[in-house]
Amino acid sequence: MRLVLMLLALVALAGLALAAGRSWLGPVEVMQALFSGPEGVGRMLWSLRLPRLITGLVAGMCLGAAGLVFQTLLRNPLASPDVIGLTQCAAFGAVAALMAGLPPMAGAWLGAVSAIILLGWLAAHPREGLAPRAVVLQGLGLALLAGAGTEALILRAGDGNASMAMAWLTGTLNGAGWPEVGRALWLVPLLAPLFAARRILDRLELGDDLARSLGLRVGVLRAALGLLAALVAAGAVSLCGPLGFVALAAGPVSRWLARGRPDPFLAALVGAGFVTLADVLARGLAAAALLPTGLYTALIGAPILLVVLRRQMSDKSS
Amino acid sequence: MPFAVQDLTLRLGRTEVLHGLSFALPQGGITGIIGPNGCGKTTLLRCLAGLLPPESGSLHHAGQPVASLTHRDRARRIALMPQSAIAPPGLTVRQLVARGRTPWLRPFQPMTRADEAAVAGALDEVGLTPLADRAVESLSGGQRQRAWIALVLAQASGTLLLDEPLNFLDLPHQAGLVQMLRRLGESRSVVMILHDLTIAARLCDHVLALRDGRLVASGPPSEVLADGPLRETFGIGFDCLHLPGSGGPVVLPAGL
Repeated sequence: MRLVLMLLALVALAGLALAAGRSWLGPVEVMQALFSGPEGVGRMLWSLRLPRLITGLVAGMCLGAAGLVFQTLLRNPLASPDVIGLTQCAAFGAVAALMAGLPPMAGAWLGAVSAIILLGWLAAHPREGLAPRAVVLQGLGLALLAGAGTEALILRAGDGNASMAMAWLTGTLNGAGWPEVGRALWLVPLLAPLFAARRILDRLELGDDLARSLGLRVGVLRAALGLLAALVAAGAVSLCGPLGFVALAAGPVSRWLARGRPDPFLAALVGAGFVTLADVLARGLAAAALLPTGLYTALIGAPILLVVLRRQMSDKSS
Repeated sequence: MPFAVQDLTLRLGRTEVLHGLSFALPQGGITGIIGPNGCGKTTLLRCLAGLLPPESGSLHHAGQPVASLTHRDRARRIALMPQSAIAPPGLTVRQLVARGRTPWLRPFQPMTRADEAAVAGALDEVGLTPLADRAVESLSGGQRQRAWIALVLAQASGTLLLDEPLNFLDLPHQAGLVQMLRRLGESRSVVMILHDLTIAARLCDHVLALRDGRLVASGPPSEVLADGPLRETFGIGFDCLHLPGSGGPVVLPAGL
C-alpha cells in the first residue's frame, strides 16, 4: 500500500519534472510532446528534460539504496556513503579520471572500491571481526582526506577543467543527456541484488551472532552487499556529482515508511523522488538563479538529518 | 549425543582461548557451563554453535562434524541465543519470534502456515501469547528474555544454546524462567551458561566447569558441584548445604 503510494508520488513528481523549466508546459503539452517523439514539438522535452529526468531517477535510486544498505550493515543511521567517505573517494576518482581523459565512472568505481577495502582493513578487529563503529570514525577521516585531495586536483588543473569539476562537485544534472542515460542504465543490474537483500538486511539487524546462527553467512554477505552498494553510489556520483544528503536521508525516511524495517527498494524510490524534487526546485522555482541540484538536495536533506539526530537522542534518553 | 568434543583448541586472533577440551554431553536434558568471568564460557558456546572454527581437535553434533554442515542445515539443528542480540526498534514480539524461522523459509517466499504455527507454538511455550503484538522494547526484562527464548524455539532445532538466560532478572522472574527452562529440557538438548550455582545444581542434568579455557570437570551436578571441583574452578572454597526434601545443594562461597 505504502509502496503503491510512493510509486504514484514518484510518477507525479516525474510528470512535474517534465513540465518544469524556464518555459513551463501544461499537462496536455507534456503528453503531446512525449507522444510526438524526439522530432517536432517534443524536441526540447526529448533532448533535454527526459534524459535529465531518467539520469536523476537512476542516480537517486542508487544513492537511496546504497544509503540504507550501509546504514543497516553498519547499524548506524548516519553511516551513509557520504558520511563514511565513499562518495568523496568516488568523487576524487572521478575528477582524477576526468582530468586524465579517462571515463569518470571507472575512476569513481576505482575510488570507491579502494575506499571500501581500506575501511575494511582499518576497521577490522583482530578478535571480533569488523567493528561498525570504527568504520564510521575511520570513514569520517577518509572523507576529509579525499575531499582535500579533490580540491588539490582542481586547484592544480587550471581554469578550463576546474570550473567544470567545481560545478560537478556540488552535484548537478546540468548536461545530463542521452549518453548519461546510457551510463546510468549500467547501474540498474547492480541495484537488483540490493533490492533482493531485504530479508538479509532485516536479519543482520539482530546482531552478527544471531544472524549467523540463523544460517546467514554474515561475513560474505556484508562484503558483497557493501561492495555492490559502493559501486552503485560511486556510479551515481560519476553521473551527477555527489548530490548531498540523498543517501543519508533516504534511509531514515524509507524506514519510517516501512514501519522501521529496512527495504532497499523503498529507499531507492525515496532517493529517486528526493533527487527529482530537488531538480524541479532547481529548474522550476529558481530557474533564474541557476543553482545546482545538489544545493537543493542539501537544503531538504540537512533538516531531515537534524530531525533524525534529535530522535536518536530522545530514543537513548528514554 | 548432541555434542562430542575431542581435544578442542580454539584461537581468537593470536590468543589461544580454549586449550584441548574433551567432553561428551548426554542426549536431552540440560547442561550448564560454569566458571569465572573470562574463562571461555561464551567462546565455547559460540564454538558449539558453529560460529567459531576450532584451531584443532574435533567437534561433532549428533555424530556429524559441525564444520561439515551447510549453514542452513546447521541452523536447523542448533540454535544459539547470544547475549549480543539486538531487538530492532518497533519490532513486535511476534515479528521478533518469526525471525527464528529464517533457516526454514524459502528464498523470497513469505512464511507458510507451518511457520506461523511454529511461531504461535513458541510464543505459547514461553507464555507470551497475550503480549505477541506489543513492541519488544515495551516489555520488562523478564518478558524480553522470554521473547528471545521464543525466537530460538521457533527455530525448531533439537539443540538450544543459551548464553546466560537468567542474567539481569529479579528473583521471581528467575524462578519463573527456571521452571520454563526445565520444561524445555524435557524435549530438547539445552546447553546454557549459568552463574548461580544453586540454580545450576537444581536445573542441570550435566555440568561443565571451565577455568582459563581448560575443562576442570564434566559430569552430573552431584559430582561437579562439590567443594573440591568448585575450589579448583573458581579458586575459592564453597559450602554445599543439603536441605532436606529439596532438589540439590545450596551452593555458597565459603564465609559468605
